[in-house]
Amino acid sequence: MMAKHLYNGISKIKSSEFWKIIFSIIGILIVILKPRSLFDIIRILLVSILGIFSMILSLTIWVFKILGWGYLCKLKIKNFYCWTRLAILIFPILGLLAMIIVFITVFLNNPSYIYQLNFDSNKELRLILFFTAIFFSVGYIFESVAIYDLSIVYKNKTLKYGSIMYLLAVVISPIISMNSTRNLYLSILGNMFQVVISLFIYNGLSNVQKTIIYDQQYPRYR
Amino acid sequence: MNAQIPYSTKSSDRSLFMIVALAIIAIIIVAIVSFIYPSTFIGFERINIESIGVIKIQGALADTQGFTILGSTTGVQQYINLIENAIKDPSIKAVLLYVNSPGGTVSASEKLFYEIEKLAYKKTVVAYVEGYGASGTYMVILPAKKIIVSESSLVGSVGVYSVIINYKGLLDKLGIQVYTFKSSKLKDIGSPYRNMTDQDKKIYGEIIQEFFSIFKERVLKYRTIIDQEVFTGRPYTSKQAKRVGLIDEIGTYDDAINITKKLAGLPEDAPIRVLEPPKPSLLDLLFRLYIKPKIRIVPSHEILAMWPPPVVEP
Repeated sequence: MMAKHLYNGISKIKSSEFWKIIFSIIGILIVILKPRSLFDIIRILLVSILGIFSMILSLTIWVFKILGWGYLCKLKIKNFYCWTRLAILIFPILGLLAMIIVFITVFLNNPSYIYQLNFDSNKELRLILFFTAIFFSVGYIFESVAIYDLSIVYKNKTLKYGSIMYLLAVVISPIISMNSTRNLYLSILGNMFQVVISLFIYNGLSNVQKTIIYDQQYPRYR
Repeated sequence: MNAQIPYSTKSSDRSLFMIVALAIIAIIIVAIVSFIYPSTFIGFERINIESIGVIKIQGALADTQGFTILGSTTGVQQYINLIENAIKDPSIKAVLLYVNSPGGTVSASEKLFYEIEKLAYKKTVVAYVEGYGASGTYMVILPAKKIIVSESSLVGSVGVYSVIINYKGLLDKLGIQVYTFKSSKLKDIGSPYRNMTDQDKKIYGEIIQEFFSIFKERVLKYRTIIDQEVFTGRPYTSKQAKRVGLIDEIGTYDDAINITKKLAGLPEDAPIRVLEPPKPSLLDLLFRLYIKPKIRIVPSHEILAMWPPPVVEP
């Protein structure tokens, strides 16, 4: 039963990494296809469809992560995995709430801001990105450290490098999220880096999964 | 096959939380730095999405929209709103003023001139005249970095004037007497019901000369005028205007677009956005239809910077 939980947990986290790769590729496409004017109807349509698709994907990734770390939490190997699940569950919700609250506040103060979303000159809008970046990142910090722990447990170098890169990417994510609106190359680079990280983690988790299948390397429970 | 490897206790919960805490501190520091100094981490070239905004200035310029002796007039406030939007919009790097207007009232032309001066201070502004770019409209486009004119356009007519119709002779013939009660002798200066005195004419002449000298100063501030004939108020064809220094180039609309892109440092494929005033609502349309006057109203002593002069229609 425990092996099944472990297998399922890693399988779900692996799935989340797979969808993350697709999500990042869509992110790159959105930047490339970004409409150049309000009359660029085809691009606006394409970007809107991709945007909706990426929203659905981000929700899917989030659910897979919660399920995956939920299975690992059930193993009772470490409390940290349970904290990871909790952090992944709560912090994105807090981030979203912060975003909504700041948006509403900004809108009530000056409704015209909504029509001229200029992140460069508008401090309030930069504040939205600031809080969102912090809140969203905390859950991912927990996850990257938990993956790092798994890499130590299973002595998997690919997973270890992937988790270190993941942690690094999360730490520098505010730079990307606060500047991506005006520096599109930075946004593309951020997404490309995310693809590499997810490939590393996906590959590492696949190797870990294999060891579980062959039942050769399996942690004892405390 | 049950060769279980003992679970590594190297990384306890406590040490993992320590890593998380350190990472959170690091992320807060990074976020604060990028919030306070947004340009610190920018070292890459931007993908260019900057565009050219086109503002069309057409028809006689007046303070309000409607029908006057100038014909159907365009309230300059709608152009001012468009210019203010262009100033605020970071994606608009340059503005091309597409002009076909004979000018209008001095006050309306001046209002628009100040706004375009403000715009030219912040963004690249180029003017393209197709048709008329005369008098008050010429004053409006003076702050542009370049004035480009189509081959068969008329520009110039630097000057101001005022038309005053006097009905005294006609009223006398008809036996109609008009009584005016005034606080002082010049209060009804320009009244159509009495003849103009020499003093009245002198005062009017001074007003016109004062407004003209302001116009002339603006022309000399922005242009190098070769021929002083420019200040006689005569209109010029495109070729003549180029010769005397009123304009920079003769070309087509496409030429004007390309020159604007070049001056603003934009790529050849930079998009063009025509900035238009908001479309009137159904209520506006109904209201305007209702109040549309049947006859043209003669303005009282409006000082005009307009060529060709308007014609009074009964």
